[in-house]
Amino acid sequence: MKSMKWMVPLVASVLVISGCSQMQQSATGSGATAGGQQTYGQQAADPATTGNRLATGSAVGVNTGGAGTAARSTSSFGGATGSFGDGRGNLVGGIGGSSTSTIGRDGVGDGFGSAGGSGLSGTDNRLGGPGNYKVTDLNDPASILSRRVIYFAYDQSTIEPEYFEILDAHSELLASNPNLTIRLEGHADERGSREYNVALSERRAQSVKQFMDLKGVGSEQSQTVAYGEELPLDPGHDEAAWSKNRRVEIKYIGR
Amino acid sequence: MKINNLIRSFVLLLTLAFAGSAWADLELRISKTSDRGIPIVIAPMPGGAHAIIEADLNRSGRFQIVSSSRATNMATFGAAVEPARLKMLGAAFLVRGRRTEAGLDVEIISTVTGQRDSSYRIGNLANQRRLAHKAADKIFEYLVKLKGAFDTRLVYVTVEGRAVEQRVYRLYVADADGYNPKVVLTSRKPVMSPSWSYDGSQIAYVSFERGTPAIFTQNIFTGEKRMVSARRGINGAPSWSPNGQQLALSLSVDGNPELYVLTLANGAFKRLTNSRAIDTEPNWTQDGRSIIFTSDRGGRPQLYEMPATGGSPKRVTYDGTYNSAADVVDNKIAFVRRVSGAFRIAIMERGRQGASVVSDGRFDESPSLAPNGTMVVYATQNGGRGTLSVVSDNGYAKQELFSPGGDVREPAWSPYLR
Repeated sequence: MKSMKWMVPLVASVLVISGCSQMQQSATGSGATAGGQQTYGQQAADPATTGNRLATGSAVGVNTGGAGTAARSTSSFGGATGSFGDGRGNLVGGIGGSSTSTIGRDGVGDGFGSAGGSGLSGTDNRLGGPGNYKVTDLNDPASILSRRVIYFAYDQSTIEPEYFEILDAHSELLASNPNLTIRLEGHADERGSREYNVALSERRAQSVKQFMDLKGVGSEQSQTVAYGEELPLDPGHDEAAWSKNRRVEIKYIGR
Repeated sequence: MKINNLIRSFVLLLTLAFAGSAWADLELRISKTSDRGIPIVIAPMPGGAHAIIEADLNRSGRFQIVSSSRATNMATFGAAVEPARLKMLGAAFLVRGRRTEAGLDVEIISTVTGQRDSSYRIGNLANQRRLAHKAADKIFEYLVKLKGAFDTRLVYVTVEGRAVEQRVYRLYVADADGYNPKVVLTSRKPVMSPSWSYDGSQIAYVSFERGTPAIFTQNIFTGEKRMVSARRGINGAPSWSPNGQQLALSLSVDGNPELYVLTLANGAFKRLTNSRAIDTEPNWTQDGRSIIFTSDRGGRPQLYEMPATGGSPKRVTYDGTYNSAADVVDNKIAFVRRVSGAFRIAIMERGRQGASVVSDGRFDESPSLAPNGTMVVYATQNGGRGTLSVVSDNGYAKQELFSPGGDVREPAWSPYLR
């Protein structure tokens, strides 16, 4: 499980970094300047880059710092200006409160380790205007924001790439609406002992929270609840049911 | 087989006899009758106490029950019996009983000597079935040389309703054979992980009634209830210390699930573990010195043991990729083990390596040992429904407890009643 724990920051950091490099690419391509807008659904569009980032990302735990290839550009943090690859790990240092957040690659990993990423830039840290999404979109069944369940593989708490787009959308909405709050409800399938499953489901909820925190959602905007196997969506006893039950549900509070 | 059927019919009669008084009784079905152990015959007793005693002794896996009908004509308590007829019974012991104003009298007669070996008077109690359970405890203790654990209780969780918003969770306390169930808590939100206090008067459990998990203690007689832990994150897996003053539990308030000991008198939390892994499902050893718990610090959930005052954990289980949810009585540890894709109940001796798997389901969980360690109750599934099973530690005898009204889960066996 230790290796799995490492996977969480690793995968998320790859995601963040690759997301950013996407932005860089699109910014370069279009000649646009920093706009605080993120390109969705292309995280894996450039396998070479992603692979590359994965390799750098794996340095997360060992505080390798050195300058990366990612250029300074808009970050995916809801529009905050960020510089990558200077290795100072300001996420940990708590400089996140300043208007420029410097994300070292080591910082990404350590930010995860600090339980909830409280050092992550506050909501006042976003220079960008409101994103594409409005709060009223939450009531629109056609909006991607109507998709609020993230599913997981057996005994895993890493977020599958297919859910990045959904989580990006929710993150952007939340980041640009600091008064919005959510509850991330983690669940497990019925196999194994109940309290262990509670712990496993909390890990899942935490990985979604950490993903969102890194996307600029205020740490205080989301809380996690671990239900274990207590509230199955599908009461069946086969993989078809289990795969629906291993999930995190995003619940907007008061809506 | 014949004996099995006879026991079945007696149980059926009993079920009918008590059906009117307690609609929510668990329905007891014997799925495996011991054909080993001490052969014993319980002569018919007025009021059917013999059937309760038979069922109790059978559950222990230490007796071979000979049909009571064979002793019909020698059932009179205190009456002399011919040694020749005694020998015809095919049992080592004959038990006879009588109801009096004062309670229930039972005697144990050796069929070899024809002499009364021992006799007992069980004083009257409001719960009539307890008289028979107490008699069974006396017989068990006399013949097996271990304290009987039939006059004990179970706490368990029932769930009714399929859709999430329709579900009703109840915490029940019943006799150890599923009779006389009483609701101690009803909730629309999940209720989990009941644990007995060592005097059998209180239960600690996890409730989501506030939306987030919190740990409560509740007196089963007065209903008085107290929230003892509602920290941020997980509040789970309470386990009462043998001295009654502390709860071991799992909290994620510091970031990931760690073990803590909560002193109930002053609400002080002491953290025991410090790992990046999941640490949960603590259970005290009976001397109160150690805690056995589940951790995936080695990559997979395994059992570990550590001093209850803190210190470094030592790994307990090495076989298999999934061992969890330990319950400890004396030197016995019952736990969940993954066996070729199925989750089953295993029992091992503390300090030894081997374990024996005593259940055969696919989703068996929540094992809880009787206070004398001779039986284990656990949750299983039968026909897609949650039921309870009781199996003797030697695997010889097995029974299932069905709920007529929904799923039953998370049984916990009480300590000896006082």
